[in-house]
Amino acid sequence: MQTTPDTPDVASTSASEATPDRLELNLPQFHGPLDLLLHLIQKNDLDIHEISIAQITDQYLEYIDLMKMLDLDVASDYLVMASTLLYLKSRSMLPSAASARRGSDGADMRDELVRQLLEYKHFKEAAVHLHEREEARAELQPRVRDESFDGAETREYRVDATLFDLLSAFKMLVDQPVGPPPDLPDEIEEDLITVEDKIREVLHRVETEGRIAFGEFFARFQSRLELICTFLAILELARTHQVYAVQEEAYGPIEIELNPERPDITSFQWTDYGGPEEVEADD
Amino acid sequence: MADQKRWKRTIEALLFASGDPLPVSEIVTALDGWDAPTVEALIQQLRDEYDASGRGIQLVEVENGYQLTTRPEDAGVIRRLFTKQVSSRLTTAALEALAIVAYHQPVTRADVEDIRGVNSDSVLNSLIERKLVTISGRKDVPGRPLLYSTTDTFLRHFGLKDLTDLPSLEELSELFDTSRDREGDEDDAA
Repeated sequence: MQTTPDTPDVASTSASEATPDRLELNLPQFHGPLDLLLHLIQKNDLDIHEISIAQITDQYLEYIDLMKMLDLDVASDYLVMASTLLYLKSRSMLPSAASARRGSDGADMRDELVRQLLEYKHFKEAAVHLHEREEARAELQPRVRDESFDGAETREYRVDATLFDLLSAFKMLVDQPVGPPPDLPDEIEEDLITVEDKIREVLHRVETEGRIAFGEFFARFQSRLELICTFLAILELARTHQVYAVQEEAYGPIEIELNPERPDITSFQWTDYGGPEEVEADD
Repeated sequence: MADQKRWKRTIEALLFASGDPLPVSEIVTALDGWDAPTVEALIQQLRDEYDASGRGIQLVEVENGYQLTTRPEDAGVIRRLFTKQVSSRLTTAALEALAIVAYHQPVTRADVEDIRGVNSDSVLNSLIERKLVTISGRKDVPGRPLLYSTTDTFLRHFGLKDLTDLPSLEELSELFDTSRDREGDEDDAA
């Protein structure tokens, strides 16, 4: 996996030698600056605890240049790391007396970087291990339970409605031509409906009525604002797992029902679409 | 002794009917008068019998329960007749984020991003879509960010008995370091 040319000499940036036609173009995809750094460290057979910041910095920067040259997208995270490394490199080049006078934040930063690298390395290893387990598990075939077979529970086989399903259902409702309300008031009052109100309303309905068809929440004539607030309320409740949005089959009618294992609603207070917040203990 | 045989037969039937991993507690519920330790012991006997008699079925412990599955040796042949539902394998980035959630749960999005050093919104969302990760609460700090944890589906997908079935991060390190054959680590192994 030869990507960056070896640079034994700090002074030579050798960017001019890194032309696309000289290097193999199968650059490994790095998942961020830490990933790249680990690769460089490993490639140079270094010990993480004793990396030479100067050497690593140069190679790192070369790699960034290479990415730019090959028109690859360089995420800002890489640039933030570049500046960190340059700072550390500059610290390491100061005469030791001067750096001691300025305090040891250079050393702290370096230790922090090493700690970060080690931690990330652990999880890369954990990821590899998980992949192996995934592969091993995929070799085993269990008996797939018959859909019509209820077993101990009486729940029917359902799929969770996705966000797309909910949006489609809502769009259908909104697109329906709605006639004017039977009694149009002379004065149009401003709607003071909030998502918070609707959240309470939806929850109350599913608590008392059980499973309710999605369309039922929008049945009465409602203003656009009310429709949207209701929809957002359902989304928020589904997102925080207070309710389930389910379908008997893909693309079938959606139903909303309470999640029996949801956190107790009385311990949450819903802000105006800011999500739930816990009420003070002495309520 | 005849009793034991009958009991094992019944447990086998339950495992077969379930298809999905079945917790011991549910077996105990289904059959009054049997206690969990007895059931466990009989399951172990069943497992040994399957292995000893070279059957095409094995009994595995996964997702806090037990399940009957085929053996890995036959995976190739099975694939010729049955194409497995393509639950595409996870990307490295997704696995890294998943590992962080698994070992540090419950965690916030920010925790995951701090460790990986990059934005993890899309990986976390896709893990939630696949039902490997779920929202498990909110952290009691300003902003009240959401907390994420792994699900039972996670256990099943990776063939884990429970969360303790994951090797500790130190154990993993040792495994990886020795296999990379670095000189310094041979000394550390002592």
